[in-house]
Amino acid sequence: MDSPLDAIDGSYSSAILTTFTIDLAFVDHWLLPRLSRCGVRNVVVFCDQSQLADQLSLGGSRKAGQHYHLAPIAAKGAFHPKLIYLSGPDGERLCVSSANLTAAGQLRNVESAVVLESSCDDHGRAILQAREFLRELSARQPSHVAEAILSGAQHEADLQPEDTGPIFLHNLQQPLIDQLPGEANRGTAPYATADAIHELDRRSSRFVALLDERRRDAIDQARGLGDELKVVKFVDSEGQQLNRVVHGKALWSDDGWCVVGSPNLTGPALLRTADAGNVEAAVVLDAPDFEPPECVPVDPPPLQRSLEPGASPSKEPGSALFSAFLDGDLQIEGLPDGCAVEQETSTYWEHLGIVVDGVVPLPGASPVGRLRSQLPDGRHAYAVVHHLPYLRARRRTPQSRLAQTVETLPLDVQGVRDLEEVLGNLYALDDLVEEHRANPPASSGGHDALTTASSEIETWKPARPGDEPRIPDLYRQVFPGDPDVLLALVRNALRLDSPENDETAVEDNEELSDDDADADLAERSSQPPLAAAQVVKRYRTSILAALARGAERIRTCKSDELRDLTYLEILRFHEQLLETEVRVPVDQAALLGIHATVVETEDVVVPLVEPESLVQPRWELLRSYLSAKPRLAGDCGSVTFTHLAAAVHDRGQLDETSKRRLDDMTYEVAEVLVKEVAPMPSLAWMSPQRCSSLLEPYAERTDWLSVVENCEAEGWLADADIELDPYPVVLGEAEFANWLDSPAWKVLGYSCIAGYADSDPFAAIVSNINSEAAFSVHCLMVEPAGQSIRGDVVRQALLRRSDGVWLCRTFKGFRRASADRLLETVGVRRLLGGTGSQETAHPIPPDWLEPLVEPITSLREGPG
Amino acid sequence: MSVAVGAPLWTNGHFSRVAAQDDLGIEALGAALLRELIPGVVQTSISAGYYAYYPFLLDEFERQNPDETRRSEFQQFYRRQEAAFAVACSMHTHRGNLRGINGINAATQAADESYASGTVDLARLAEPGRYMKTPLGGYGLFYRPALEDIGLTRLGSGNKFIDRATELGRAAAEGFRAEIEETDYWSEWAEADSVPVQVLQDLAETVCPCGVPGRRDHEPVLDALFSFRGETERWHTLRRYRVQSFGMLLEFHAQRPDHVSGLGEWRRALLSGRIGGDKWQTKFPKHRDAWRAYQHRETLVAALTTVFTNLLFTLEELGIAGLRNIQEELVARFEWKSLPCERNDHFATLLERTAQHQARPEELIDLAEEAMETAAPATIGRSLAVAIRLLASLSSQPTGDDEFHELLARGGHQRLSPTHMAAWFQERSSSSVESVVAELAGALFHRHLQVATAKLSVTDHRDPFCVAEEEDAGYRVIRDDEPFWTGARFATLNHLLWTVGALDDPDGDGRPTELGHSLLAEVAADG
Repeated sequence: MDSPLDAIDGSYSSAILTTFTIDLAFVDHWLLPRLSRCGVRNVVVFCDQSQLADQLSLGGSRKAGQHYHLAPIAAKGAFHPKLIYLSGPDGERLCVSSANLTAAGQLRNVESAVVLESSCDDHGRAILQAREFLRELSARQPSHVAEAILSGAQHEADLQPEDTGPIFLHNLQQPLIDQLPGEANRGTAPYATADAIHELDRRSSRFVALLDERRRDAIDQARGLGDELKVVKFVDSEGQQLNRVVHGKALWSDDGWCVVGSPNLTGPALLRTADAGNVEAAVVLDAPDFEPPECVPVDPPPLQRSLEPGASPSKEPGSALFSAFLDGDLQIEGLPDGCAVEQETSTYWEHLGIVVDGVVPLPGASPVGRLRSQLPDGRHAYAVVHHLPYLRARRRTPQSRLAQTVETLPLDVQGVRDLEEVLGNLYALDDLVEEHRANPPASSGGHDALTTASSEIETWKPARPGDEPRIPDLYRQVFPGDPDVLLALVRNALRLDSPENDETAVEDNEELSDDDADADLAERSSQPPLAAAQVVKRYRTSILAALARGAERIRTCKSDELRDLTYLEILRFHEQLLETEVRVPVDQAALLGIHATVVETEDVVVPLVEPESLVQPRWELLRSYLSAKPRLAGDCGSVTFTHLAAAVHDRGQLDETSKRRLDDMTYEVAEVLVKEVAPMPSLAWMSPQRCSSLLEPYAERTDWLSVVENCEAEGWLADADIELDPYPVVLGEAEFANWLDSPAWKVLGYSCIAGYADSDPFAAIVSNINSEAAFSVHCLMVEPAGQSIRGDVVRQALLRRSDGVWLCRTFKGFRRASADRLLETVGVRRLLGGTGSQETAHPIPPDWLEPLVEPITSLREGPG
Repeated sequence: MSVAVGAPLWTNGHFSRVAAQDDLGIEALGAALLRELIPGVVQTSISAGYYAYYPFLLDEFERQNPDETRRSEFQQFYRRQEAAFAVACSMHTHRGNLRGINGINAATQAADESYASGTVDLARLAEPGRYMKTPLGGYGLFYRPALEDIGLTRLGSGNKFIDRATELGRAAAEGFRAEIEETDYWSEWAEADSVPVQVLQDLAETVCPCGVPGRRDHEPVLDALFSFRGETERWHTLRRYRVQSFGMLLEFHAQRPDHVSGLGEWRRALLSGRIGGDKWQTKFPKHRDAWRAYQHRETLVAALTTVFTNLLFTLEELGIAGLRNIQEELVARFEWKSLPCERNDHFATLLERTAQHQARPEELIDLAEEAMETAAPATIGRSLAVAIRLLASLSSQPTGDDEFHELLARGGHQRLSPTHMAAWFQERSSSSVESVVAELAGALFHRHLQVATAKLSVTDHRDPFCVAEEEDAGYRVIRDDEPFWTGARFATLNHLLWTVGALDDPDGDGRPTELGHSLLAEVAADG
């Protein structure tokens, strides 16, 4: 166990913690996220009153009083227990340790700890005793703390107090030393006094206190005890002095039991009850194998200074505390009426109001952070504002599994950094909307859309200045499921690891040698994150679900700005997914069943999401966007260009319907993209040139001049040309033997994309230069009739060389989707087979051919 | 995560070592400003030769492996080539004081060890973790962002895809290729595991970064660093800022008297707009104003980190102490006679009496240098007093346009911007000087705890704190800090412009060469 906080694991709803010293920033940054990940919404932290006052004189917390109840306890000595008590429908867990809620206690020191669980039969007694202890602590607390503790109690199991197993000890009624089950023979602690050691020795046949040689105060206090005092040097596995502070406390008996918890080897801790000494808590349990940290005896250091036996370490004159509750009014306890209350600002303190009948009238916004007031004796008193409605609401709201998603999110730091940019963009958008609001567009109807957009956007804003941004409704409304990956990504983006922040400093340190920088940065060059295969599978599923919801969001979004933004961000997410890898243990790789690159013997590197499974979601996203009056300029245009090209590239992996829709949509936008938009420049997997080459064939078929050029380039026509009046007609010369072999079919098929862009007819006319052939001119015309189930009619006219008679026929059931089949003769046969009408002969051109006579004449006569 | 239930234990702790940077969380912003002021040049991209060499390696790999996109594949090729380059350059007699050969330490050792055998085992040197620990050596560690900013390369995204040389990069690569293709190394030994020393010495004669001027990669590198190209608006802006910064340094060297040289004088010139007492005649007044705002901020950073350093020295002497004790000790040791007022005077008095420094801003650098130099256990009081004078002086906001003040406000209260700190001191103008000193120390102490706490990470096991809490006894020092200000790119720019042939000395004492003057004229005309 690295830290007693490792005990916070599993699923719980409430937590009660006790500590002597408290580091509010540490609680905010390290403890609360851990609790949140376990589903804990109801948190109470008891701490020593004077320590909290000192802490608040340094600085405040944005989360104390809003995310958790902070309950200071005034003790005669010190309020000293260090407990973590978790409860929920699945059970209870109790960690009793020597570690305070500080970085030193939880992450740096050597601390003693023991974890008990309600699921263990013989732990029931200790947990019941701990519950009772916590209830007694809450008895004199404000009602909101008692409420929170009662709320947590609803999940308490009906435990049976067995006569065996660990015993929870506290000194609210009886000194700890009187509750020990027998003789204690050894003990260690960072603090000691002679009276406690002497009393332990008196009650046993032999007691030895192991004191760290660096704990000069403790040694001086216990000096003169003779054999009862053993000064030691704590060492590491190589016999070198431990560079960590041993802050753990424990007592051992030769009978095999030990005591672990908060009490030092001091009188206030061991010899007195809470009303005369400290408040302490510990667990006594059988643990014959539990030994002190490795140590070697050393000579006692020389006397440091003279101290009275039993004197506690000197304390500086401290600050004071008062209480502030926001429940409608700002209610104050612990300050006399008439005191001025100030609120912290970024540079100083500003006057908030005067206490009148225990209330400070609030002129404006609710105060957050810490408050201060000058007491009549000149000291300052500090308070954390408890927002009671917020705390109650928080308790009622069930925890989302989102938090668990964040915990196991297999993203590398680069990914997180990218996502931070996502958040930045959303804020930028927010600014944009503010600008629009200040200068509303003149056009009517914009106001409603803007109101909708801005109200959606504002949900991103932190509830209060300095808070973390909240989960945006933008995503919440369309991503209701859990675990919600996209939300998790955004959340995660807010907690960037600090090493990245250091990179700049490394780079810009004038004095830094290359070697220093090399060593420092190289250390951070990271492999992909390690994740269990099961986790990766879960993420694959949820990421794909999230992407599908993203497409839905694009479809339903009413605000153009938000649609654009969402579209951009989700496609960036796609891009990141294409490059995000994770490592899975090699023995789990088979679970994923995908290609992997072995980088180390024990792990394999796999894509977080298989690239092929992203093809369809990307297309759905593009389709949603392109169906909603897209903005094909700027970033949206570039992104569309690149991803549409990628979709075309991966077209073979789409289902048949999607292929057809992809073609249709690409034809619609390719020309604009190719001519007016630049593809994204920076993607390794899709170069701009490649993008262009993929979309140009689509663009060419929507532009009549390109159609003509292509007909020539393909060798279908010679001297090809286009007439656009009264409707588009592609014409040229070719050599063919019979009408089925005529390139007019190919020309018509190739023209369909451009021709179907509107409902005007379009035609192909080919002059046959084969003088042996029966027909000298082949005309084909289509009149697009819309989405008819029956399809459209293709009209054919053949000019018989022998007599100049037009032989006409119609073919029914032609659709644009069939156009490409006309590009091959065999396709023509199959497409037209059985659909043609009887051929009719016309000595003069029929009406439908009339507009084409002039082009035909010019074609036959040739230039000049 | 599994927890042992029902068994007492000793915790292992989370930290593996004590290490962190930017202990007050205020230094990174200066680095970010520098990147804006001189895009395409980072602190460690000091050699123009690498602006051609790295694009060459990228381009050459792409030529040899047109279908390969994975960075991991490029890495092997890259390391082998850079190892050879480093060894070759380490054996070369440079035309001047060339610095910044990437991987020089291991390369020098390999060269030393090779004289007996006459060959260098490059395959071994190129192995992961040897000549440089970073997978992509000097490119990955130092030059990659610079080359991308300047338009020579396009980054492959994530950790997976290879970077590519752009059209501009390929031009530089071509210049370099023209040179290296004439070497025996390239024609016969480029892929060999072991290479004769003589071959590498010949290679260095041809391609060492000290010899860029006049080589065939010289023009393309100049083009990359200075020239105008039709690109995006963003690129224009980056280029304009970069060449104006180059131009400012060339102006500085052209106008400074002989006795004015070095980083300190560069800082003084940036802050005051004077060079050795005379007005700096600049073609880039707007850009110089941006540099002035940057230097103003850096001077503030120097003062604040000096106060924090002295606080740690004081705590170290006290052993274990609470903040109040530390504050009292700091006030007690403060050299009050160094202030132009009494300790019990209102802080407003100090603000008024130090405002005169704004008339001669270069004196602020004098104060900063003195505060930093005296930040030592024996001279805590002196150092603190000078730092406080400096902070009071800086609180008189200098004149400037909106853009200048926007730069001063950059970072807000979260990053202790000059604007914020000025307001912080103004708010306390009616408090006594000694109480403001104590309050500032307390604020910086708390800030450090907050900044370090924010650095705590499940995956990073470094202990970011300078102090450890000792339960109710107070705090003790676990890591010292030292005063800091982000460099003003002086050494970098001097060396870079020397390697490109625009200055005649790499170490800050140079003068513009003929090329330098012509570049300056060109930049002044279009920059």
